[in-house]
Amino acid sequence: MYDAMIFSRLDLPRVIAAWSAGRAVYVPTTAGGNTTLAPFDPERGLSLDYGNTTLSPKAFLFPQTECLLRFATCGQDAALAVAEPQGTQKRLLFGIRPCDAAAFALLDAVFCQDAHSTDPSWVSRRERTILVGLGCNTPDAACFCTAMGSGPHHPRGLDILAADLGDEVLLTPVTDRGRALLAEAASIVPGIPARGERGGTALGRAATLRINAEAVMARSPFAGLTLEAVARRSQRTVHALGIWPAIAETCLNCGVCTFACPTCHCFDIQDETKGASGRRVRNWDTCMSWLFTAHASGHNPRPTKVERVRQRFMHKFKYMPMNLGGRPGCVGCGRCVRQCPVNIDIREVLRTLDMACRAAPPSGAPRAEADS
Amino acid sequence: MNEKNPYLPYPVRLVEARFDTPDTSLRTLRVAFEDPAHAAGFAYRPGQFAELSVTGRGEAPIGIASSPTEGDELLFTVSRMGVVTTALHELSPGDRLGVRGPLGNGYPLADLAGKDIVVVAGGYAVTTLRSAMIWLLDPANRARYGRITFVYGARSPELLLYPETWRQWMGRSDVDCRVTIDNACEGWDCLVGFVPRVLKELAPSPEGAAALVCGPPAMIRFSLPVFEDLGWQPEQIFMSLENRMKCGIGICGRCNVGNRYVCKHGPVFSKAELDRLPAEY
Repeated sequence: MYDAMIFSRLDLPRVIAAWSAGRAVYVPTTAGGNTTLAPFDPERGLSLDYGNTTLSPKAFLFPQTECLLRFATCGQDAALAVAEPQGTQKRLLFGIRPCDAAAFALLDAVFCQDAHSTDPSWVSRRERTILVGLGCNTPDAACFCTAMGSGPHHPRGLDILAADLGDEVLLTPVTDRGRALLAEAASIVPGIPARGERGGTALGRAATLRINAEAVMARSPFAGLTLEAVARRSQRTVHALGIWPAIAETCLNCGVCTFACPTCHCFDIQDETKGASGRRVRNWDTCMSWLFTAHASGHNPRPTKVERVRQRFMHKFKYMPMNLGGRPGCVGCGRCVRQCPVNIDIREVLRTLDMACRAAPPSGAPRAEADS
Repeated sequence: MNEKNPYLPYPVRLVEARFDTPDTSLRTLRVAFEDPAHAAGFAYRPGQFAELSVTGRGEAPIGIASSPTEGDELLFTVSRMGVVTTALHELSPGDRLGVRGPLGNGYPLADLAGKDIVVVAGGYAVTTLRSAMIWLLDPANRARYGRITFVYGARSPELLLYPETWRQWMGRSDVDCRVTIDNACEGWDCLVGFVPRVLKELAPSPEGAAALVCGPPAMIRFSLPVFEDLGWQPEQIFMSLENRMKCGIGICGRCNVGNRYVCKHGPVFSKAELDRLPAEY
């Protein structure tokens, strides 16, 4: 931690301006009730007064629509596909929240599984994108990151973690890339290494802000959520629970949860042609859609919204933990809680799921069951 | 698989195509790689599949019907169902298309060395089992396996794929080849009756044996109890699944059965593994 730096809050725009040399920098910007990460504009200044971006920042690494291949429709090279270069722009995202950075770290394990299953676009964008996160001092009522293995000042997935101390900002490097970036800023803007008494005070204030934020979350009625009982039950048992029809009952299958979610990553691939050329694009998709799993024959393994809603929650709370060493496929950002038009609250689903798993009759040895 | 970009298909040319059935719903395509280096990169095993790509229309996952022991050309039998498969039916010899793969795990033939193999196929699901049979009967592999039995059925004679191939197997002494149709018809010289009944009469012993099963749901539903009655264990039976797919490499999220992706962890699963997964396929 000794290599953390303290900057005056008033100097923060200059730090970001220094980082803007050689890369595109995006900062939180609120307009019309929505917060986005927008290109940094020195004229407009920088506000740290925002909860979180309305939509997750996943589009920076996994665009909503992205060209994978191009091809000609006529001539010598007709039907010959050529890969489209991806993610060539160097970027820095300032002010993403620790939950969203944790989501990127989680998606690394999805997009880069092994030599056969590595997504070149994700890799390219991830390598070129630096993440400077801002710890949450005032988590809101829908946040539940602490229940999902993250926290309001958690550094996972970030290059630098920033803490807003009011008059000052503490920047703590997390990766070597973050360390280099901090040195880059300190060569232009005067900063104070967080050492000695001065540093101790700043580190202490940051720790107090973190503890206060965690204490706010600990008072939430959902603070004690746990996946332990779900982990002990087999996927067949969880799948067969009687809770799913009631959970799905009000769902409209609108897909806003998957759209706003920082960890939802399912995509579709479609071809488009215009005149002599065409392209193969991938688009965000949603497991809430009937078409998502419909076979060409008409058969559909998830024919009604009950199967589809169950799939979304089981993917996050059963299948991903099984495949990713216990890590849930949710980071507790709360966007789906805030944005669901029929108020389906994923935390209530989790609590129902937990209680049903505790009550389910044991089927075989617990250990063997959890592994299957 | 293309090492740099798993979404980039290898360009291939259609060498030969023929409609397999009088209703033209099935068409077998033989394709050749434009670049011999790509053929080397496409090292596949029986039971794997490929995404066949028709630019402007899209991709469809199709089981590989050829065996790697047959050379560099690939064989696919395509049922005309949707947009892409219709496009595949409209291609002419010489046309370019794309092949992305090989994808999936394939049949665990290497693990089954030393065993008797019972192959059970129904309808046009025989494609990847043709691949497995050709591979098993290849002189380089045949001696490593015990008895090989091939049971294949379809509604009527003209719906049976690859007749010249299995007729040839009927003439061999090292394979028990039993081909059946649902109802008797004039000129038919093989068995009559549903696959599960033929299987029951055959009564293959589970001792040191494994079964590869692929066919329509009804055939599977009635064949599995036959195996069970004969004392077969779920670990000895391997089945190939289908689900809607896009990426083919376990990322895009739609073909999962429980925590397993049919495209990556399958399409071949043992019955033992399927018994542990939610039956969502």
